[in-house]
Amino acid sequence: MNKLLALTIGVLLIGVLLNGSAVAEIQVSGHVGAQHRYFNQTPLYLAQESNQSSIFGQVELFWQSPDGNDSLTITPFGRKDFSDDNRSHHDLNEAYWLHIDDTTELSIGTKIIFWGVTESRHLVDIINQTDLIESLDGESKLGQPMAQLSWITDWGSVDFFVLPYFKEPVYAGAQGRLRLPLLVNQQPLYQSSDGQKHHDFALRVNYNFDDWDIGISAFKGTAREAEFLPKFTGQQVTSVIPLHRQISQISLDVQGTIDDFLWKLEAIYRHQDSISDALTMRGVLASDNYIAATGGFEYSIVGFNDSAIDLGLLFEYNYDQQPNSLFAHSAFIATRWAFNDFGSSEILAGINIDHQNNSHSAVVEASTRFGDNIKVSLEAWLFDSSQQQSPLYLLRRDDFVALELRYYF
Amino acid sequence: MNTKLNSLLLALIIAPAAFAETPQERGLAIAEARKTADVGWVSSQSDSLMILRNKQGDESRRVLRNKALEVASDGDKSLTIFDSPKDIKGTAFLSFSHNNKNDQQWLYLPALKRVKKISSRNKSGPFMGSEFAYEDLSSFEIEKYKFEYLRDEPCADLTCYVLQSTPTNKYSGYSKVITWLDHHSYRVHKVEFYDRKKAHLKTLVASDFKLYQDKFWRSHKTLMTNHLTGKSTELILSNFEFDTGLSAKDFNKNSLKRAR
Repeated sequence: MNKLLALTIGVLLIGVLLNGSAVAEIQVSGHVGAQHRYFNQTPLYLAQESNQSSIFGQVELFWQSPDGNDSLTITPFGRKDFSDDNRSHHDLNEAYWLHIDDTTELSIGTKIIFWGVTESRHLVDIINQTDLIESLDGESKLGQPMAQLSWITDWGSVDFFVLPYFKEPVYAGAQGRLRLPLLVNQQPLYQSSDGQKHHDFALRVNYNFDDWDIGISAFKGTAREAEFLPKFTGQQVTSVIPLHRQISQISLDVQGTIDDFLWKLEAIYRHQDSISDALTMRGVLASDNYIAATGGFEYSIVGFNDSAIDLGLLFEYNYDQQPNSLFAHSAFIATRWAFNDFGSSEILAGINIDHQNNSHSAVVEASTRFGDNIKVSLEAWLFDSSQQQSPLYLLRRDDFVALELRYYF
Repeated sequence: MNTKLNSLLLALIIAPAAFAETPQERGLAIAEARKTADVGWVSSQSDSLMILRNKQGDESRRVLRNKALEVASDGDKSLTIFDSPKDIKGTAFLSFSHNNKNDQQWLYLPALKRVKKISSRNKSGPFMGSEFAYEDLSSFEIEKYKFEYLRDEPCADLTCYVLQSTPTNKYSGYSKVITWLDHHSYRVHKVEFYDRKKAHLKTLVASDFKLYQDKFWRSHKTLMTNHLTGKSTELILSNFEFDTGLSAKDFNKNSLKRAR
């Protein structure tokens, strides 16, 4: 990875040297911030703390050739957490060169790519590793090294990806909340003997017509999520080891606007290469083939109650053939308030209902801007589960409120 | 002699038609003339300063850039990119206006790397907290309205046609729109927007016109006032450039994601 960074910086410097005036054309932007999380319940495990403070920052450097056909983007990110050492982490979110032609685009380097349409689960979004220790909503990502070739047409686009390196997820340490009962061993196992250097491939077709946006994707390579194997010390299980299998996945995402509704669907079929039927039988490993889907709608009320507020009502249903998935049978109901004020204030409040396990989680995300540069956000999560087989049971004492302040430059 | 006779015959043929013209026919003719007056600009770029004001007079500013592409047989394409406030820098809005079907509009949120589709119903909603609705940002197309000529009225130093337009799209937030267009070059000087309850919702006043390429008039200052809330949005445009080499490749979901 350092090689890639060095290479990108090298290319950037060459660009600067070739064009003296380019120095002035490097655009620098980003943010720095501080976050405090407060967990109001007594933790389940001894070392865990109830107050978690951290500081973070992200810088984006952007340079573009005078004709606009070539550009370089470099975006490092870092967080220093004062409670959980594991959450102190940094990542090169982006470091890529982009070349644009009339009908093709080529990117080489590290990028973040988002696929999908639904809110409660990002099922088809598979290119990047999810940075769950960064935020629980699955929307923080680690940069993925890649070569991406895109072909742009009148009806949409076709993207082809080669992904030569796998970024391991970061797991909470002993002091951290929102974690498994056992600590995660930070040396994952890979089904492929190539380990992190397995070359993954992905293909995506985006098709837009009238009121419909459709995406069909295929992926072959290392599963981004881990399955966890018990690690024994004598008779005792002392930690869990993440295992990343080789998978093939095809997916579909559809978004249609009909009247007041925005209809959304994401669906995947995944084949995982077999490892051990015995472990699959015991539920340690997921089944080799499964489907999962998330579908629903967002209904908009513009100018709610004669105000400038846009109110969105969201309903989504999650289905997953893996029985111990958090999303095996769950419904998501939420409201989104966009106040359309000076501060672009927004509130999203939602509840996930796992009706099979009688478990619930609720989330509130609110944000507003003060002046031109300061953004304040508040996030709260509540977990309610008394069923041991529910994945939410692990988080039953981890309700928390997070307050965050960011300065943008 | 012949020419004179021809003119006379022509006058005889046209004059009755002109007198028989209904307000609807005259309205349509004016709208068509407005459209014709602004054909052939191919592509354009400009910078904007958007100033939001509330009832108390407090201000909030947004800096944005606009790119537009003329589409001959359909509605135009446009891309709007936000430079400030910094937390929404890189937020970009892509709009495909259409003659005979719903417009298509997408918003790119750079923090999430995510493209959000604007639903048909949302088009009457406010654009990024301003008094402009998403639908106010789509291009003027004849097929989107039924027209009726109301009267002539003085506007600035000129005379204006006062034209009533009734949106044909059921998702429009307006029951009618009244437009003041000058006789001289069909420039829009004022627009009154009436909401679904027929109340006078907003007024747009355009000024500081400049002529580009001897043909295309552009207003450099537009003020949209909301009469129900007392809020207003002023749009100050500058650095207009025409025919800058923009093409369809600059107006798609890929270019939306990398717009800066």
